[in-house]
Amino acid sequence: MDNIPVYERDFEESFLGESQDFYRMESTSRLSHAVSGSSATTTTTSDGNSNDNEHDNNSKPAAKYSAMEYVHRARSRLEEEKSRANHLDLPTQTKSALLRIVETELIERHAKTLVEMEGSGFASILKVVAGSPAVGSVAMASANNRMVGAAGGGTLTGSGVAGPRGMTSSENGVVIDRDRIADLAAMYDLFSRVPSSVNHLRNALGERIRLDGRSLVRDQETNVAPPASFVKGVLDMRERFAAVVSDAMRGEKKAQKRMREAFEDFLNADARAANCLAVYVDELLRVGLRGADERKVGRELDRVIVIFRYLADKDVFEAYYKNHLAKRLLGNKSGSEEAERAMVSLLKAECGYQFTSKLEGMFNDMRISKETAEKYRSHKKGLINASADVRDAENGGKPVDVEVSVLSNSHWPSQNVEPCILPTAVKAAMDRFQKYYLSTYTGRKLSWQTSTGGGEIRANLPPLKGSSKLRRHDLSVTTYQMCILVLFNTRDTLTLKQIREETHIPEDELRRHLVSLCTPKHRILRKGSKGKGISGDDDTFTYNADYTSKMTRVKVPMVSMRDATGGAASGSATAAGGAKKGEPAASGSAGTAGALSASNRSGGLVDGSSTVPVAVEEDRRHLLEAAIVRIMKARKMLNHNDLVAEVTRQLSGRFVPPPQFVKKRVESLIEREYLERDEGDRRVYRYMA
Amino acid sequence: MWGSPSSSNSSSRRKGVSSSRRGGSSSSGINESKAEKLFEDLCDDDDNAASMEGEILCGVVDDNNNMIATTSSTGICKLCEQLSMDPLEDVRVLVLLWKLGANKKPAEIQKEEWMEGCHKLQVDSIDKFRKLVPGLDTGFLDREEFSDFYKFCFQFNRAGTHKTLEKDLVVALLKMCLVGGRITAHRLDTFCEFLETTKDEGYSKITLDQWRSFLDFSYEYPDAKALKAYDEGMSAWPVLMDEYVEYMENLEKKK
Repeated sequence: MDNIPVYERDFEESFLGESQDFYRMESTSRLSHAVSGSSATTTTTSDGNSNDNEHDNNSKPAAKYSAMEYVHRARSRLEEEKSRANHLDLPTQTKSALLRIVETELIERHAKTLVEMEGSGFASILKVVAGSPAVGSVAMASANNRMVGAAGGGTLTGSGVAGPRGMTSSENGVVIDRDRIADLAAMYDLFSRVPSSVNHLRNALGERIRLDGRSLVRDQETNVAPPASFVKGVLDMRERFAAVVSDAMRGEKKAQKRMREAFEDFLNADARAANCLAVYVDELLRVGLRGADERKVGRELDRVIVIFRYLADKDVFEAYYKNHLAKRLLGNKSGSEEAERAMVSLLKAECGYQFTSKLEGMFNDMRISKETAEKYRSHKKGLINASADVRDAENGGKPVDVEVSVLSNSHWPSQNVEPCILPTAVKAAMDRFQKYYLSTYTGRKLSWQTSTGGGEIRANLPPLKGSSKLRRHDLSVTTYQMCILVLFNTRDTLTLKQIREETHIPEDELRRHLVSLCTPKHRILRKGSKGKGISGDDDTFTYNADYTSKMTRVKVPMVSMRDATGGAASGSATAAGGAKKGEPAASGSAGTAGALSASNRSGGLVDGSSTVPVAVEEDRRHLLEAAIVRIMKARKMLNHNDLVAEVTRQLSGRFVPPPQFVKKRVESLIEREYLERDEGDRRVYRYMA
Repeated sequence: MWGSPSSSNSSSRRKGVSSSRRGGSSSSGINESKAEKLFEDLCDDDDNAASMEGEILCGVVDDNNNMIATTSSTGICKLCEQLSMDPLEDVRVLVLLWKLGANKKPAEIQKEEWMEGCHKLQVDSIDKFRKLVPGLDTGFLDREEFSDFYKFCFQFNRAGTHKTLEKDLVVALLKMCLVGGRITAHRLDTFCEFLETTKDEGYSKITLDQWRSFLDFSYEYPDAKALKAYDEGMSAWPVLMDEYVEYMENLEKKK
C-alpha cells in the first residue's frame, strides 16, 4: 500500500459512504413498512449465509421486523461485515471504521425504537418476564418458531439461541421465562457494542420496576389485597428482575444500581411497605415457620431482610414489628422460638445492637417472668392453706390462680391505660402476687395492664327445658369480658351506664367487649336494642340463661372495632387469635394477666396507616437532637449544610430525616441555648458549652 | 457602641475624691445625687428598679387579654409622661431604655443600670432628658447599632422569664421599630400579614432567633425580585422564613 491518500480518497471514503447509506436504508425500512432498496443484491453474501428474509428481499416488499428479528438480523449483518472484511484483508482502519458505521446505523440510531416497539421491544419483553407465567405461552411458541427459523442455518457467533429453554421455577416458586431472558440477553449484547445505547435498556428496566411496584402499592391503598401479598409480590418481582439483570444484562453494575434505586423508590413512597413487611413477618413467625427446619427459616427470613434493606424508614418497621412481637410473646403465639431468635439476629446484623437491644429485652422479660412464676408457685405451696385471706367466698372457696408476665416498661411498646375495676377474687390474687414480687424485688413499681390478658370463667347455667342436668361451660375471655360478666352474678340486667360505672373500662373497649358477648353465636348476654351497635347509656344487657354451646370450653372471640361501633371507627383491631387448644382445665379458675398491654391502639400505631406513627415521630425527634448536639460538641463550629449532611449520614441506618425536620430541631436547640448562630455568618452554628 | 461599662467615668475620676454617691457632683460631669433622686422618684416603693409593673410597653393588657390604652403613672410611664412620649406608640421610649442599658430584666430598668446610663448619656435632670429626645430617632443608628437595638426590643418586651413573644405583640413591635425605611414597607407589611393569617399553631409564639432572622432576611431579600433567588434547600434560615417565602410565592401565583 504505497499511496495511502489514494486509498482513502478513491476507495475508503466511498466504500464507507456506500455502506453507511445501505445500512441506514435497510435498518430504517426494516423498522417500518417501507420497501427495501435495490441494494438487495449485496445481501447475498459469499459465505453462504442465507435465510428466509434474504429471499424476501429480492422478491417482495420487506416485512416489518419485530424487535428480536431485527436484533438477530443486525447481529448477522455485523458478522457478515466482519467476516467479509477479513476475507478481503481490509486494513484495520477501514475495518474498524466500517464496523463503527454499521453499529451506528443499525444500533445507535434505532436503540430507542427497539426498546419501545409495541409488542416486541425490550420493554414489552420485560413486561412478559415480569408478569405472570401463564401470559404469553401461546405467543411464546410462535416466537420460538420464528427465531429458530431465522437463526437455524446460520453460523452465528456469540450466544445464539440454541433452542427453547422454557420456564424455570425457583425454590420459592417463582417462574421465570428463560426464553424471554435469552431474547433480552441478545438485545443487550447487541446494544453493548454501542455503550450509550444501553442507557435505553436501563431506563426500560427502571420504568418497569416502577410501574409494577406502584401497582402493588395501589392494591394496598385500595385494600384489594392483604399485606402479605404485597410482600410476596415484591419478592417475586425481585427474583425475576434479579434474573434479568444477572442473566440478560450480564450482571452489569449500572443495571444493578438502577434496579436497587427503582425498588427503593416505590418501597419508600409511604410507610405502607414497612407495615406490610411487618405483617408478613408476623404471619411467618406465628404460623409459616412453625416446625420449619433451620434451612427454611434462614431462607425465608433472608428474603425478608432483602426487602428490609430497601426501606428508608427502618424505624417505622421496627415499631410495627415490636408491636407484633409483643402480641406474640404475651399471647404465646410464636410458632418457632428459633425463628424468632433468628429474625432478631438478622436485624442486629443489619442495624447494630441498638436496634435490637429492646427486642432482646422483651425476650428476656418473658424468660424472667416464667422463672418468677415458678418461684411464686413454690412460694404459694409453702403458705398455710388455712390462711383466711387465701380463701375466697365469692369463688366457692378456691383461690384464683394468676399467671403474671412482668415486663420492663422501657422495652415494650408503651401503654398507659388506667386499670379497670376487677372482680374481688381476681384483685386479691393479683395483690398477693404483687406483694410477693415487691418483696423479692425492692424499689420497683408495678402497674397492671388490664387492657391485655384474659381469664377463664366458669358459667354455671340452669338445665335446659326437659332436662335436669346443670350445665357448665368454661368461658375463655379477655380481662374486660371477665369484669363485665362477673357483675351478672348479683343482677340479671344492667345498663351500659351501670356497667361503665362499675368497671371503669374505657368507652371504646367497653362497647366492643359488650358487643362480643351478645353476638348470635355467643349470646351469653342479651342486648336490649336491636341491630349490631349499642344504642346508648340506657341500653340493657341481660343474663341469658338459655345460652348454649356444643363445647364445654368456649373461647369467646372479640369483634372488630368497626363492627362494634357500626363502621365509624378508624383502623381495625385484630381479633383475638385462634382458640387455645389443649390447655389444661384448672380446678379453680385460672387466669392470665399480662402486666403490659400489647394492643395496637396505643400511641397511634394503627395497622394499615400510611403515615409515620406518632411514637416513631417522637423517637426521631430525640434521636435527631442527640445527634446534632453530639456532632456540634465535637466540631464546635459547623455550617448548616454540612451539619444536615452529617446528621443524615449518622441516622441513615434508621430513617431518612427530611431537611426541614432537621432544621426545626436545630431551631429548637438554638432556643434552648445548646447552639447559637455565628455573629458573622448566620449559616454557621456554634456549640454553646 | 456604647463602650464598656467602665467608660469615661473612671478615667476622669480624680484620686482622693470620695466615691461615695452622696453629696455634691462627681467629676464625671453629672450630679449623681440628682440622677439618683430622679430614679427614686420613678421607682416603685421598695424595689431598686423602675418598672412597668408587669405592663407590656406596647400596651396594657386587661383581664380579657385585650390591649387598652393607659395613663398609668408608674415607673417608666412616669418618665415618658414627663418627656411627652407615648410608651405605646413611640419607639423612642425603647431607644432611650436601650441607650440607658436596661438589659438585665424585661420591662424594667434597675438602679445600677440607670446610674450607669445617666453617666453615659450625661443626664441628671428631666430637662437634660428632654434634650436627648430628638436624637432618639432610630434613623441615627447605623446597621450594627440598629441590630443591637432591634435585639433589645425583643428581649425587653418579654413577659417575666419567658423566652418568646406572643405573635400579636411581635407584629405590633415590628411595625413600631421597622418603619422609616430601615427595611422595605413591602417586606414588613407582607410579613406581618403572613404572621397574622397563618393557622400554624407552632407560630403563636416567636423566638429570638426568628425575630433576628427576619431583619437579616429583609436586608438580603428586600423585594420580590430578590426573593426569586431564595433557595429553600440550601437555606439556613428558620423554617418560619421558608414558609413566609412560600406564602409570597402563592400570592404571586394568585395574581
